[in-house]
Amino acid sequence: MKETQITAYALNELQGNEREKFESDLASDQKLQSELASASRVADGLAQVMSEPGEGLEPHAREKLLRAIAANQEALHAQRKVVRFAIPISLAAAASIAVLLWVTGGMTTHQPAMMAAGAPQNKVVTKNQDENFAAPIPAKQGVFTFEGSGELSSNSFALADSKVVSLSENAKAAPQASAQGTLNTSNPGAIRIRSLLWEAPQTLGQGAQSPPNGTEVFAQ
Amino acid sequence: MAPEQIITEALDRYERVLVSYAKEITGDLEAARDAVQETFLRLSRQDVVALEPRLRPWLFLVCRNCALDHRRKVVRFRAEPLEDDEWLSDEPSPPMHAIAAEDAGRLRELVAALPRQQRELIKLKFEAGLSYKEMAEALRTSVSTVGVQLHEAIKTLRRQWPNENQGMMTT
Repeated sequence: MKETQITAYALNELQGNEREKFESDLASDQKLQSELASASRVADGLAQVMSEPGEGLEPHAREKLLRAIAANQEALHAQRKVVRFAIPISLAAAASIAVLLWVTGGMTTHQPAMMAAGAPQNKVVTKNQDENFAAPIPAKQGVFTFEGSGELSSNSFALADSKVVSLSENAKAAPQASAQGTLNTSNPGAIRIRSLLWEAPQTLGQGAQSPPNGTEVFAQ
Repeated sequence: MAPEQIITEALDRYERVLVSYAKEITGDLEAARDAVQETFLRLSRQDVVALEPRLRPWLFLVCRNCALDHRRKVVRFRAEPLEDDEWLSDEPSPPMHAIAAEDAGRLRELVAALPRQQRELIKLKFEAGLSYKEMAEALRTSVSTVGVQLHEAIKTLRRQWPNENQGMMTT
């Protein structure tokens, strides 16, 4: 039995098992009963002495304080009101800009400038836009290195001649993340690449990494 | 409950206790009143509704800091070193005055002779009615430290305020 428990019990600070154990010991221990009675007497005396009201604030100081508290609260409310309006307005503005960028991005999807050879570029592709989004790529046999980001619902890309070419193992490993891998094709002829089953706006780039010599890689 | 109402009720309820507590630290009534006013001004700049569940220890913690700030300023002004300022200091109790205790006034004297940290605990427990946990929060210490320190204070008072005199304190 710790001595501190006697005081804690007298001050009603023992809880649960500790309290039960203490009371169990108390029932059979006269010395403990005597110690507790002594501690309780002091605690009762202190409760009586200390509960006598002391001095507070001066009345005029109290009134002044209440006025200052009211002013602070008012300022706080005004500040919160600004924040409450500012956040939705900012979000709305950000959403508007995002929509604007998305629309203008979609409009430039088929622009010839996007076909600049060798320049790694990205394009936003949506489910409704994925048909024939690629301009003819000069036929070359070889390896196309590409990068795409976003969530892919399919690991496959299709060629214009309907031959589906799978992504490399590297890309399959993380289809939900950034799709990055190597597209192997031995198809000569005009290659049109399009995505299959886009679920959401996607970004697909091509040629971001070193293409084989002689391969013209077009960004889409 | 509206924030202003919470603050006003807290002021009604704790004003005197906080002044008494702050006075224990500053040793000066006006400085104690200043500390309490500063405490409530700080409260009025807080999110009172969120603070409400732990308002009591918060008030005593901030009041204590305000009172200690004042005390430090005064000590600096007088170029005197701080005494008994560390919560966990092992300083021995100041010498007791007369040991014979007969009434409430005597008990008050005995409390006044306790080390400052023990006096603080006595005030927090018996004036403000804080639990061990709330006291620990207000003093930024552990519950077990509070338990030990308060036990030491009660033990000292038990020794110096003999039982036979208890019956005399009836009013």
